Amino acid sequence: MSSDNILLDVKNLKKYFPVRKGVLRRVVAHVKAVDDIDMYIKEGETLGLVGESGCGKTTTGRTILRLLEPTAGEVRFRSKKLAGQGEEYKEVDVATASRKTLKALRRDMQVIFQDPYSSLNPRMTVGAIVGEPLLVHRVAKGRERKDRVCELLASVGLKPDHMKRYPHEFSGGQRQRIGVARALALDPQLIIADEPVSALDVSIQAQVLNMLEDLQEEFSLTYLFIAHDLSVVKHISDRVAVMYLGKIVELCKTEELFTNPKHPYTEALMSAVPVPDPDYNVERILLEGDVPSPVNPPSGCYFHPRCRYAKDACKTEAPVYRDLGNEHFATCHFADSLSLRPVRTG
Amino acid sequence: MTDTDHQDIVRKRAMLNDYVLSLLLPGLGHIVRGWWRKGLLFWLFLVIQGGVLYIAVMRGRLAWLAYSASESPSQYWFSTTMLFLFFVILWLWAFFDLRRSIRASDVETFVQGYWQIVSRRFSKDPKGLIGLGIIAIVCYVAIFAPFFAQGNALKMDLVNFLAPPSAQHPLGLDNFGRDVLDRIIFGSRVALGIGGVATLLNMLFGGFLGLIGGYFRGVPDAIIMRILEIVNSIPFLVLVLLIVSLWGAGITTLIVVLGIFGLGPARIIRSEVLSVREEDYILAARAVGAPTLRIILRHVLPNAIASLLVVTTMTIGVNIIVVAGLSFLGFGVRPPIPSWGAMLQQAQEFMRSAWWMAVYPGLCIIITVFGFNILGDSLRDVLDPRLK
Repeated sequence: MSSDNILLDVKNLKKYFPVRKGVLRRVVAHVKAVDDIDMYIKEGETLGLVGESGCGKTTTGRTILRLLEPTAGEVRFRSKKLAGQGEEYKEVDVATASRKTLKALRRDMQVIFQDPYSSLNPRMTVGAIVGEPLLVHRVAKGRERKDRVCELLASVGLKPDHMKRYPHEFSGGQRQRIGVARALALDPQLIIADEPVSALDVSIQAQVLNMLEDLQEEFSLTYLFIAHDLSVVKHISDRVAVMYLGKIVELCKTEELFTNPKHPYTEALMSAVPVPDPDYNVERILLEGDVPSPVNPPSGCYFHPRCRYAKDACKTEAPVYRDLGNEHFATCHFADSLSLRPVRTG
Repeated sequence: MTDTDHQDIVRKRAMLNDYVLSLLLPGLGHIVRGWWRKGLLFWLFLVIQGGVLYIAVMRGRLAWLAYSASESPSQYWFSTTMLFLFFVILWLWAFFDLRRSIRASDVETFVQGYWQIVSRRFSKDPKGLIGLGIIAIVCYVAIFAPFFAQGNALKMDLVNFLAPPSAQHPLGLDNFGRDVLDRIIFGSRVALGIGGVATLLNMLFGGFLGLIGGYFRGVPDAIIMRILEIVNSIPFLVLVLLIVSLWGAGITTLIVVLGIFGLGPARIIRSEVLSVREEDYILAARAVGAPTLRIILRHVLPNAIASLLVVTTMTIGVNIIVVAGLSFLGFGVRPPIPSWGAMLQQAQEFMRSAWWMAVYPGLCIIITVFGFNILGDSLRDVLDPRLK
């Protein structure tokens, strides 16, 4: 893989939540929410992260930002703001960064939350919410901060006089725009968008998505776009990672994923994409059984109990996350030999 | 000069007029503007204040008037100062409220903050208004006690002791011939004073512990909760008995005991903080890099303030009851100082012959505590954080 323009490089990242039981609160097991994942994001691209609920997408995002302490692994980030003189960037491991470095890193990595209703403090005005990052990092104060907040609001399509209002006076879409403005305040390089449109009305989703795309161009942003809606991901992502039970099962270019899936789980996921053609008779692949518990995942390949191509080897041997060439990664023993059905679109 | 310029000047002149009117007489500016309800409310306050002033002047009890009389004026200083302070507050309040209202009506997009919504909702809740009314009356009585009382709270009339209610002594005399009404009036100072200060301490200690425990969880939380459980497992009366026997009964002892060992609010605040800290906006603040102190003060506390206020009002009620109970048992305020609980205790022996000694202080306790409880109840509805 080429390493020249990689902004964020995640290596063997793990996040286990202990399960405690009994009087002594002993740790009896771990919820393996993020279980050894590798991925990288190139500068200026959008990496989509998809998977069903509970597969660890959100935890991955929060662990990368270190809002949750990672159990193990590295999160290497090329920060421009931390770069010394003459350097173009400085590479920092977010997972082990000191408090001071971490605070400085907050200016480079920001987050947009899923729920626009709980992500804005109801007791603060919009101006205070969007201006808080500037205040905390002493970037601008007084008149200057006010001007900057006006600018930010304008760039997400809100009016300057919205500053004095409270979040409850806005609609879901507007609130999400406020959240975006807050994330943009410190002029970050990377934004982790945690299902930014899934709580919105379908008609508003498109507006917010287009805005995010415009902003990406305007401020040369890099996105890690977490979602569960494949059509949204297809629209916005350059590459897509598919997660299942805390692991990445497949990662490749968006076009490739939809035309040439290499993992049976991806195939099943793709068959669920609605096709806007009433005559097209979809044969959906129904996965049997429930998602296994991340506390006690199945042996071998985590997907084998629900996989229709499973063979004996899948029950005992865990497949390795490997490069199939052309930046196509998959975690399946038979990724090369299976011929899986692509999705039909349009 | 264009037409709009002219209109602008006319409007500004009218506004200036209203301000002057408001300074002349609080509420007048509001009424001229057509805000009848608010204007009349200011006038009501004005009439009440005027009434108190009238009583004080007629009885010669303003501090400097009292010099001429033979009594010592020192006991009137507090009430006199408060009376004039209230007048100043009334004037300023009317003026600034008028200014805020005029500005709000001028701006195209009227911004409604949380507290404005709360006060609008509160003004429509009869329960809360009754509670607030009761508390306001009790506070007035306590603050201006020396104006209202006839001065017989401590003076004994040993000839007419246990005299039934009459025109001269509307609520009768007690077994030492002291006026029951006067004692009730001064007793309100003890009830509100001790109840209020003890509650303040409760909120400071308990609120702090609850905030720390709820926000940081883990080890600090475990330690704080165990301390609370230990304190709660000691019977309160035994604790008070112990401390009173060590330090002696008195107002200070009572306040300290109630203030430090009444840690009930800690649990409620902890549980509120526990739920607030899981909100996404706390996470967002952390993602932005906000320091912990800022997160607690700007994000957690303002969102937990609703339950804090409710707990405070309810705790005042509880503390008034406890003070009365302790005075009844003889662990409270020392005898000559009038307090409602101690009055009840005295009344025990004379229950059959002098019912007025027991009934009136008892009613006062009930009504005051009832006032605080329904106010707390109403605040819980009105301050609901989910309100729009």
